[in-house]
Amino acid sequence: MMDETRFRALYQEMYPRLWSYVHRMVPDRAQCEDHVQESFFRFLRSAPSKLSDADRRSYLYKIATNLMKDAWRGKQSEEKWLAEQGDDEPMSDTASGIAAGIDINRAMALLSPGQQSLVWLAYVEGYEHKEIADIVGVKPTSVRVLLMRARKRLAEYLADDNNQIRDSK
Amino acid sequence: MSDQFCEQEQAVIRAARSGKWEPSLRTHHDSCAVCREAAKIMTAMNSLVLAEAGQVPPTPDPQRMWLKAAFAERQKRSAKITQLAAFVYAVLAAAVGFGAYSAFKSPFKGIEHLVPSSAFTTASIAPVVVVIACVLLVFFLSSVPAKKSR
Repeated sequence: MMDETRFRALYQEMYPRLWSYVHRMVPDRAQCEDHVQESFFRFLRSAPSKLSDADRRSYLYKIATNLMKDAWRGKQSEEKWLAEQGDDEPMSDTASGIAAGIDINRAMALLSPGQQSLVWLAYVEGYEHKEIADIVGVKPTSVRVLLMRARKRLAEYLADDNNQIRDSK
Repeated sequence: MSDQFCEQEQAVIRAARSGKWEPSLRTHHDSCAVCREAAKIMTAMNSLVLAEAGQVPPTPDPQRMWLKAAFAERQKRSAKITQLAAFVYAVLAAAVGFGAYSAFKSPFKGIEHLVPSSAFTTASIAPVVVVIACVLLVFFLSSVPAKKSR
């Protein structure tokens, strides 16, 4: 097990980031909180002690992603984790939340939880395709393709959104 | 370069995140639709993160998590020690059983024909019974702390 001082520092740094990541796929705050706490607990129990700080962070994301996948598996098939969602899918609680300039929040709700996870890891956390592949448990080439599809979808939505705003003016 | 993938995409995302653009990368970004899309999404995602920052609950005290994990770790270690001790007991018990069987058999050397053969059969089963009993004890002892730790 890693030493307490290092864990404290990692926890302080990663808790808000991991919470935001999990909350995107798990809108229920209590469930999200449980996932985050469980991720840290499993991290402490299973992470090799000689990891670099960067590896520790991606290890945490990996645990959290697996936990979300497991929870998802209980409800639906795993393929749907990475599958594309229909345009008529209802918006999640988080999606109907804050509008931040261009409504990327609503656009994200069009993606499956797995795609949201990929987009988050790539664009918010800045992970490379290889690292994302390791975290999510798919091949790097698949990450590339899945991210490309998600990017196209988001870009289309954002373009539509901008057009609507322009038309309404 | 295709209209779907670009080798520079990740470099563009990194530059957009840090705000540090190489002039050549900036030129590429301006001329590449894929990279412009990626940078646009990166910017939008960051605005989302900033907008949602207020929703994140305060970070709980890590001490509780640390103690919980340390306690679980200690239980795991003690369960391992119990298992090891139980295994040693089983081996010792088997040795004692075989010893007892040999001790029982040795005084009858040369006069085995006077002792009913069923007595030897029963005596030979004894160590096996002892070993099975010890193995069951091992499983019982090792499962008790594991159940409590859940």
